[in-house]
Amino acid sequence: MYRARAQELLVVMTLVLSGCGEQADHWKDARPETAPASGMVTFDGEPLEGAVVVFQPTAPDGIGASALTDGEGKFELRTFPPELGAVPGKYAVSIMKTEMPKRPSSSAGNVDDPEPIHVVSVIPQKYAIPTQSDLSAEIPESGTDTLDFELKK
Amino acid sequence: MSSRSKTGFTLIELLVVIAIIAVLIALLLPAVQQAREAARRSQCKNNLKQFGLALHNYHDVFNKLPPFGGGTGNLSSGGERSRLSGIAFLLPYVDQGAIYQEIQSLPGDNPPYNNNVPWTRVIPIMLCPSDTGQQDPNTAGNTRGKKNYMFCAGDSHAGNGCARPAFPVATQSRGLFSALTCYGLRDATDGASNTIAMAEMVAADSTNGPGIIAKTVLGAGTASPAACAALWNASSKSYPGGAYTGEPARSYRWADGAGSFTAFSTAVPPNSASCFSNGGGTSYCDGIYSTESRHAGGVQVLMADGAVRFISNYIDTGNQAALLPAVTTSTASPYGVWGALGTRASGEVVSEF
Repeated sequence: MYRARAQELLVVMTLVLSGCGEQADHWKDARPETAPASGMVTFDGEPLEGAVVVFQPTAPDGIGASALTDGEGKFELRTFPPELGAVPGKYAVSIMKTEMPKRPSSSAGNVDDPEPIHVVSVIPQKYAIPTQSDLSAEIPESGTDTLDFELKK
Repeated sequence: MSSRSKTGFTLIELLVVIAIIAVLIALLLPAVQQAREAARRSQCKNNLKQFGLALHNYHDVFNKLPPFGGGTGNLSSGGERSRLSGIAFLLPYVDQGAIYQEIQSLPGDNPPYNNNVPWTRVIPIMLCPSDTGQQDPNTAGNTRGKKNYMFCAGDSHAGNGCARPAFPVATQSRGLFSALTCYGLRDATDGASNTIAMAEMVAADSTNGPGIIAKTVLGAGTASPAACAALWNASSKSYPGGAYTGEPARSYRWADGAGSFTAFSTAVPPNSASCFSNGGGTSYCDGIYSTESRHAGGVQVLMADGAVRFISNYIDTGNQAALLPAVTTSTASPYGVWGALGTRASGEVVSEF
């Protein structure tokens, strides 16, 4: 009989404790649904690593998404990092990959360094500007994994 | 014999009592940990409130708020090279007049990043006890004092607009604070209760993690919070493409008024990435720097009216892919409620937050 009571107590306790999990967040509840969206970026036929891909919505109230390409040029879009997926809709796409040339002096690139820095684009600069990149994409409700972009010199 | 057996406990009764006590202790122990963090968070909140009072007292005297960075001299020499943090302006209003005097009596050229005594002071009101970072992970032996509170520079570049060599340059911002430019509460036409003044910041405890800036510099004219977010792995809390290595730890120079050390931007969500945002021939100063805390779920912010609010990491941040607005404009923020709270005069309607 005591064992039965103890078991009941255990069940009740488990239920009570499980109610103390992560609290709902009204901001998170208000977010739009996303669909998985991934693809690949190539530059002159070669996979482009470390490029920043930004999806700029064409709808005025749209929400953009972005990703970084991996060693195989592949990327997975995120609208609300760290969660994967982007909001379905039409997008203008910009892709940027920059590097910083070696500094002329032996300066360390420190914030206290008065030497100016110039960022140099590794791919044509037009791809970084949404209005000039001429790249666009549509993410369907069901998601997609064929957001492929072939960039040229 | 029969009466004796009634007064004692059976073994089972004893075991049940022990089990109940064990369950209660198991419930209590995590609660004690929670209570400790709640107490630390209250302390952080109180510090922010004190800064709120200090800002208002400063405003009563000068009819303006301090800049987030300013001072005497220029970049190459003299005074503090115009890089004194806004915190230094507030020292007399948080009972630290002695350190203020100490700074004033420094002779000659004293940039706030050398190892002079005032810059190494540790001032309790600038420290949030929840923060675990203790020592600059990049610069061994850095003795400069840390701070856990930053000024809001609006929803765009937070920086000094430091086109070289014409530093120092008075810069505008869309927020309540800027470099070498002072705004008054009158300029906060969005309403003091809808405009962020200050917020929390963590001190880095690794060379690639919270409190650090991304290595990749966003190009001028193409910078957006989404581009910065792509450089940040929000799960592992690090920059997969690498972190900036030249003095990137944002909290370890309390007196430095350079944007990365003393300001944040509401373009990027709370507890997210920080990036330099203006690679067009400037030095490392303009950037979109996030506000970060070690509290679960969000950061505490000080509104311009003196209220301290807790803001969720999930707050509406609008269209993060929108390019950063020019700091001279006062158009509505593209970055949702969070962006709207950062601007001082953009006329957004802010829903409950």
